[in-house]
Amino acid sequence: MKLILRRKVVLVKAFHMTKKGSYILLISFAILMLVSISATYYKYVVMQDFVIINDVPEEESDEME
Amino acid sequence: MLTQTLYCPWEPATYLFFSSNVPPLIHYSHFSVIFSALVVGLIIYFNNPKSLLSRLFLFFSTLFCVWSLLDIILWATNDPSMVMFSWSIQVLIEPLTFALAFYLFYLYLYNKLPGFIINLTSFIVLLPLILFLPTALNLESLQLSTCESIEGVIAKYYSYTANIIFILATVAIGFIRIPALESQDRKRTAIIFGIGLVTFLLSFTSGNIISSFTDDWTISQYGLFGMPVFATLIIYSIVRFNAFSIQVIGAQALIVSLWALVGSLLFLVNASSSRIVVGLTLGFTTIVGFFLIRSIRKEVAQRKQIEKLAANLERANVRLKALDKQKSEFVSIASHQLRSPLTAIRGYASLLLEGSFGNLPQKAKEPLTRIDESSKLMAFAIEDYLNVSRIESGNMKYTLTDFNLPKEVEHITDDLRADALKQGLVLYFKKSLNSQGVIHADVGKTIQIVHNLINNAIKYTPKGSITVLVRDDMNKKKIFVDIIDTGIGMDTETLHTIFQKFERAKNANTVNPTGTGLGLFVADKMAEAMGGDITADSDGDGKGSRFTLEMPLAM
Repeated sequence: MKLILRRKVVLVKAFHMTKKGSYILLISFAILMLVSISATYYKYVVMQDFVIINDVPEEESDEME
Repeated sequence: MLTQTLYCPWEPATYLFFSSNVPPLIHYSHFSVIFSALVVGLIIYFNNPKSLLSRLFLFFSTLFCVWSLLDIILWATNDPSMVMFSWSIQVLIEPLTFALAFYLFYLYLYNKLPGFIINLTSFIVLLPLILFLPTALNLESLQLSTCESIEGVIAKYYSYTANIIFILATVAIGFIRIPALESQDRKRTAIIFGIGLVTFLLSFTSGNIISSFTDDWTISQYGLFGMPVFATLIIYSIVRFNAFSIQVIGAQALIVSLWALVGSLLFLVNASSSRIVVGLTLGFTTIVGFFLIRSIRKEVAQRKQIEKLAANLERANVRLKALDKQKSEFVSIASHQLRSPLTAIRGYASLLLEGSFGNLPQKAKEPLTRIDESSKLMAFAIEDYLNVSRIESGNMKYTLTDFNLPKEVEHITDDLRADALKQGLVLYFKKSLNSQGVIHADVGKTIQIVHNLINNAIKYTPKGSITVLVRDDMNKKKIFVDIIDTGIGMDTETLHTIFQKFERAKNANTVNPTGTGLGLFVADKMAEAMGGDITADSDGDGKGSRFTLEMPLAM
């Protein structure tokens, strides 16, 4: 009897957890995505921190000081 | 640290999307699919902005449009940093679009969002893409001559794996859920929706996979054409299965096409003054279109409400008719049941009064006379109920023959003269005829009508006289029987209702308390059924009445 009751309590808790859990997942996902996109923008556009394979012949490349 | 900024070997992009590096078909393939995705997304959203499915669909369409716009930027730009950033975002958006497609289909099939386990699985599948987005695992480097990123493990393998996982999940829920759907229409729309969605996802991802492994990114644009296919199937299911109102769809499609047409001029005209004019026109079209669609939606909603009310009314009407029929049957059965014992009561009362069972004391004769008279009244009332029941159920039978009406009316008048005299009334019979006065009708019913009208005149005339006048009108080919009395009369209000069931004159009870209010109703209905009519006229209370039976002459 106690075991059944305990199982019921666990199930009820799990039900509440699932609703909350989904919201937590969604919010975490949104935050992580924003952070990740910001980091990517900072790295590539602001810092220009990436490797360029310059395979363009010198006379064709458009260089700027 | 770079001391020089390197650019790809072509001129910078104009308005982000235009440069000499963009193959001619790219603009067409991308803008047309963006247009179709947005049209469908907006149509579905504006048809029901509160629905989660509509909002999710718009989000899905928008995400796909963002991906396509980023793709044009990648083709047009000569800025390596812009390429690296846009490419990274594309790698993230693509599996996200696939995940949204899965959620969209799940919501469509189950009318609810997935539970925690599915959400957690989706989160885990998408997590590496987010975590490794700005790392070399996603994009390793950039090749300057082609302005293309060299993809790492995440972009080249993992993102496509995620895409395939979501496609398989979409197919799986379709196979699990669609057979369990109850409505056939819903099943069909679900199948069309599913086929359209999976076709789009497969073509989209296969185009990108082939391009990624062959390094020929012109191939990927063909994968985008899955979206117009999907859009077409969605529109088909909307129109075919009336998922939304067709009129609204038509108006929306028209307005959106107008926006696209005016919007496209922005790219064609060069002078800034022309662009301002086109921009203003676009703004104006947007406002007018918004109000037009809103008014049509309102009208359609009202029409739907009216249709619903009409359907309810029709159901109620059918139910009422059934109830009325049941009522008539009940009255008919009850009246028949009452009539049989009443006949016995009347018969035995009559026999007793006639002395068939020996002489009765004088004291017993008076109550017996009352029994006889009351049972006679009751028999008339029952006959009226039965007639009403027969008329309403359409079971009244008429045997039509040619007969002389003035002659019959004269006989009835003669029969009733004794009753009139008993009340101190004089009953006259007059005729003014140009014809023989022959009519084609049911003799019994016509006699019943005239008898009823004269009998009423006797009942409701306390003093004075009653004149029965039979006249004809050869032009109208009609014969009239007027019953003119000097009785209690009627006001205008009573004249309007006197032929309705259970309606009696306000002052009727003072003269004759035993009336049922059915006699005139029955007489009127019978006259109508034989092609005639009964009309009533009175100058007011206490000023007498004139009832006229009008029948067509037999020629």
